[in-house]
Amino acid sequence: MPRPPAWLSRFAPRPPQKITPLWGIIFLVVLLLGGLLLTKAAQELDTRLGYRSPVAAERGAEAGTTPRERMLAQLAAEEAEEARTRPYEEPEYRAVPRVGSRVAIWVVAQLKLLFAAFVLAVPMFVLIIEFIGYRSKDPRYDRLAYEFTSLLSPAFAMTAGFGGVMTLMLVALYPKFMSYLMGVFSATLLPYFVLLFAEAALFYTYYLSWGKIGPRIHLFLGLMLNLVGTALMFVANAWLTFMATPSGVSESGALISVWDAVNNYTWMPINIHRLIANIAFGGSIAGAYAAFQFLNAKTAEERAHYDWMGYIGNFIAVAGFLPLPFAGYWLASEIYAYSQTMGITMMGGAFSWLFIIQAVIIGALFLGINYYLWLGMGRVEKGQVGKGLIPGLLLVISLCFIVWATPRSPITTSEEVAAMGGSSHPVLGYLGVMSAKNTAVNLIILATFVSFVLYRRSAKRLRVGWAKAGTLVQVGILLAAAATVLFYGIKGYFVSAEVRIGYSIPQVLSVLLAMVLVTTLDMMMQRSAESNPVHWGRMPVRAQYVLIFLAVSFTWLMGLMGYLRSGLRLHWHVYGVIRDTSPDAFTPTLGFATSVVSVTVLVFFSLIGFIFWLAALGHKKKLAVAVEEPAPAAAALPAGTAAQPAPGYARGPVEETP
Amino acid sequence: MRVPVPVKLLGLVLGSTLFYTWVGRMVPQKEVLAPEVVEMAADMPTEEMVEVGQEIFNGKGLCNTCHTIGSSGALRFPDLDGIATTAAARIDGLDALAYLAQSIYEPDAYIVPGFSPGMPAIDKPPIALSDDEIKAVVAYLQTLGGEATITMATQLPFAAGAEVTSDVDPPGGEDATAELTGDAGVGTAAATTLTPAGAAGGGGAGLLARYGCTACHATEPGGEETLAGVGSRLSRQEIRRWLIDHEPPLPATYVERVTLAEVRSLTDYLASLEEAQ
Repeated sequence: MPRPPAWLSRFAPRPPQKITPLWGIIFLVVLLLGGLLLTKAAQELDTRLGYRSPVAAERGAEAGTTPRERMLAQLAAEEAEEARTRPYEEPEYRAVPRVGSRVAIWVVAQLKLLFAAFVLAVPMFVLIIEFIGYRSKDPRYDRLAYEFTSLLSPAFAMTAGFGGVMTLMLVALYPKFMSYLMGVFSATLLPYFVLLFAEAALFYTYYLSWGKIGPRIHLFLGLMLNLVGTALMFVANAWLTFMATPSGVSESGALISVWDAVNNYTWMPINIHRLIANIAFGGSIAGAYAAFQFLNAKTAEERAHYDWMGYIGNFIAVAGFLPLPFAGYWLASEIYAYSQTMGITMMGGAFSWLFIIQAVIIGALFLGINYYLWLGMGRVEKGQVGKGLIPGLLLVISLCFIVWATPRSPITTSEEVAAMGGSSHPVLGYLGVMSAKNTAVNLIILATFVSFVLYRRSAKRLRVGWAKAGTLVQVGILLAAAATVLFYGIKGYFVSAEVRIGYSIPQVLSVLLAMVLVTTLDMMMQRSAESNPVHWGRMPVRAQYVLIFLAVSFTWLMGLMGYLRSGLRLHWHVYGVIRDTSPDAFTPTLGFATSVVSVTVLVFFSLIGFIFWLAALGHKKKLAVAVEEPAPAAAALPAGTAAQPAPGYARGPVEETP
Repeated sequence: MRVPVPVKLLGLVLGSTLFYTWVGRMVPQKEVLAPEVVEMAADMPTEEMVEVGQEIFNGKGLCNTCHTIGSSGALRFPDLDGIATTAAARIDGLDALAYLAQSIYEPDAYIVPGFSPGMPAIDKPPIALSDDEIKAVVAYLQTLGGEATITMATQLPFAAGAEVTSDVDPPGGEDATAELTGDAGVGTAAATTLTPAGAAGGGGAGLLARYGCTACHATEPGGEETLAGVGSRLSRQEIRRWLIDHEPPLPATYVERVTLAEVRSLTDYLASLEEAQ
C-alpha cells in the first residue's frame, strides 16, 4: 500500500491524549475566573447605564440623557470645579484600599527582597562551582554552574519588576517620608543606579557569554558580578538600617554626616547577616529546583544529575545556615548597643514570642537538613559508617528543639498562673531562659555538623596510618565542645545577667573552633583516601520533598525575620527621629504578621514554580543531547527508590563527593 | 490513586505554610499601639499624678520593660522596690526628688553598682515623655517606699529650662483631671477624660463599660449591685477572684475576651473605689 503524502498526516486521526486531573483543575479555575470577570463587567455596565424602561428610554433619547445621567454629569462638574479651585497640598500619606499601605508595601517589598536575595546569592556559589570546574577540567561542574545561572535570568526580571513597583508605591504612598529619606541619602543614589546598571550588564554578559569567551575572563566577569551585587546590597542596606538605628542626623532629623548615616550601628551586621542568609536561601531554592526536576525526571541520567544538583544546593544552604546564628548574635548585640529599649522590645517585649515561632522553624530546618544527610548516606556504597549514630543525633536534635521552643512564660489562665505561683512554670520555666536556649542551639549546630562529617566520611576509605588516632582526636574535640557548651549553659543559671550574656561567646567560639579543627583534620585524613562509589540518583523520592520543605521553611523564616527587623521600629519611620503618623502606626499581632508572611511565601513559590518550569524547558533537551546512550525508562525502576545510575554517572567522576 | 507530582508539591508548600501560620496564631496575640499623648491639667492633685504616673510607668514610658518592682536575683536593671527611700541616699547633695529626676533625664550620670549603663534619656525619643508626664512618673516612684510629695507646680531639676534645685511642695487640690488624647492606633483620634484610678477608655472604668458591667453595676452609691465602696468591702484578692469566678456566670463576650492585664486593671480600679467613697 503506498504511503500517503506527508502533508496528509496532519489530518490523520490522532491517538487519544490522556487528560490529567491538573488540566481539569486549571480549566475549572479559568472558567470560574472568567465567569467572575463577566459578572463584574455586566454589573458595571448595568450600574453605568441604569435600567431604562422603553418609555423612559424613548423620552431620554429625545432629551439626550436620563435624569440619572444628568445628575451624574452635574456631580462630575461640581467635583471638577472643586478640584480646579482647591489649592495644592501634598498629602503625608496615601492609602491602598482594603489592605492598607503597610500591608501592600510589606508584601511587595518582601517579594522583591526574596528574588533579590536569590539573584545575589546564586552568582556566589556559581562562581565557586565554575572555578572548581575550571581547575578540575570536569565539564559537569561547568554545566551545573550554567544551569544554576539560567535560573537567574527570569529571577532578575522579577527582582527588577518588584523593585520598580515597590519604589513607585513608596513614593506614592509615603511621599513625605520618602522625600526625607532620599534627602538624607541623596549622595548614595547615583552610585546605586550606576551599580544597578553595572549589575544588569555584568549579569547578562556573564550568562550569555558562557562558553563563548575564555574561562579566565568569564571567571573574572563572575567575580565582578558578585562584587557589584554585594556593593548594591550594601547601599540599599544603609537605607533600611538607618531607619532602625539612625545616626548621622540631629534629633530633629537634619543631616549631619552622610557617612555616619550609612555606617550606622546595624549596617555592617545586617550586611554580613544578609550575605550569609542569602547564600543559605539561594542554596535552598537551588536545591528545590533540583528536587522539582528530579521528581519530573524521566531518565536515570536526569535523576542522577538532579540528585547531585540537589545535594550541592543543600550543601550550600547548610554551609550558609550554620554560621547564621553567630551573625545573628552580632546583629542583636549591636541592636542592644544602640538602644537597650529596642533590644528589650525585641527579646523581652512585643517580639519575644516571635522567637518561639523562629525556634519552631529553625528546629524543623535542622531536622530536615539532618534527615536529608542521613538519607544521602544510602547513595554511597558501603556508606553506612555512621548509621549507628543517627538515633543518638536525632535524640539530641529533638531534645534541643524542644528546649529551644519552650517559652519562658506559657499561655495561661489566671488560675494556672496562681497554681504555678507566677507566669513561669516552676520546672519548664528554666528551659525558657537564654542559658538553655543558647545551649540548645549550639548543640543542634554541633549535631548537624557531626551528620555532615559522617556523610563525608561515608564516601571515603581512609588510607593514612593515623586515621584511627585522628578520628579519636576528632571525637575528643567534638565532645570537648559539647561539654563547654553545656558547662556554660548550666553555669549561666548561677550568675548575674551581665555575666550570663558574656557566656554566649565561649559557647559559640567552642563550636566554631571544633568545626574548624575537625574539618581541617578531616581534609588531612582524606588526602590519600579512596572514594567509595556514589550512586547519584539512588535517593528516595521523599528526600526531594525534604529539599522543597527546606526551601519553603527558609523562605518563611526570611519573611518572619524581615517583619522583626522592620517591626522593631514600632511607630517610627526612622526610630526616634521621624514618627509614623499614618493609620498603620501600630505593630500588628504576630498572628496577623504570620498570615502576611504566608501569603508572601505562597506568591513567591507560585512565581518561582513558573521560573523552574521555564528553566526546565531548555535544560531537559540539553541534558538529553549530552547523554549518548539512552537510560532505562523510569517506569521500569523499583518504586520508592530513584533510578539506578547511568554508566556515565555511576562510575565516572561523579563518584567524588563535592 | 496516584497523586500527580504537582498536586503533591502544592500540598507540601501549602501544608508547610499553613503549619507555620498556625504556630504564629498559637502564640499570644498583642497589638502594640502608638503611645497616646497625655495632657495633664496644671492643678492636678498629687494622688491623681501617682495614678497617671503608674499608667505611664506600665505603658508609654516602657519603664516596666526593664525595671521590676519587688523582684530579686539576677536582674538586668535595678529593682525599684523602695526606691523612694534609697534614692535619697544614693548621691551626696541630691535629695530623693533630684536623684529620681536625674535618673530619668540623665540616666548615665550615676550607674547603680553591679549594673551597666543602658537606660535611654526618657525625655528624648523614642520614649519622649513630656516634663509633666515625667513628674507623674516621679510621683508614682515616690510612693514606692515613701509618700508622693511632688506637685504639678514642682520644677524638676534637669528638665528643660529648669534650675537644678528641687522644690518640694505639699499635695495639691482634688478636683483636677488629666486629659488623655491621642491616636487610638488605627487612625481614629480619641479624646477621653482621665479620672482617678486610670478610668480612661482603656482603664478600669473604660473596661467596665466595654464589657457591659455597667448594665448591672453602677459606680455611684445606691442600688443593690453598686460597685461604690467595693474596695472597702472586699480585698484585692477577693475582687480579682470575683472578676474571674463571677456568679452568675458572665457572658462569653467577657469570659472569652478579657485578658489578664485587663483583669489586673479592673482589680486596681475597683480596689481604688474605696478611697472615692
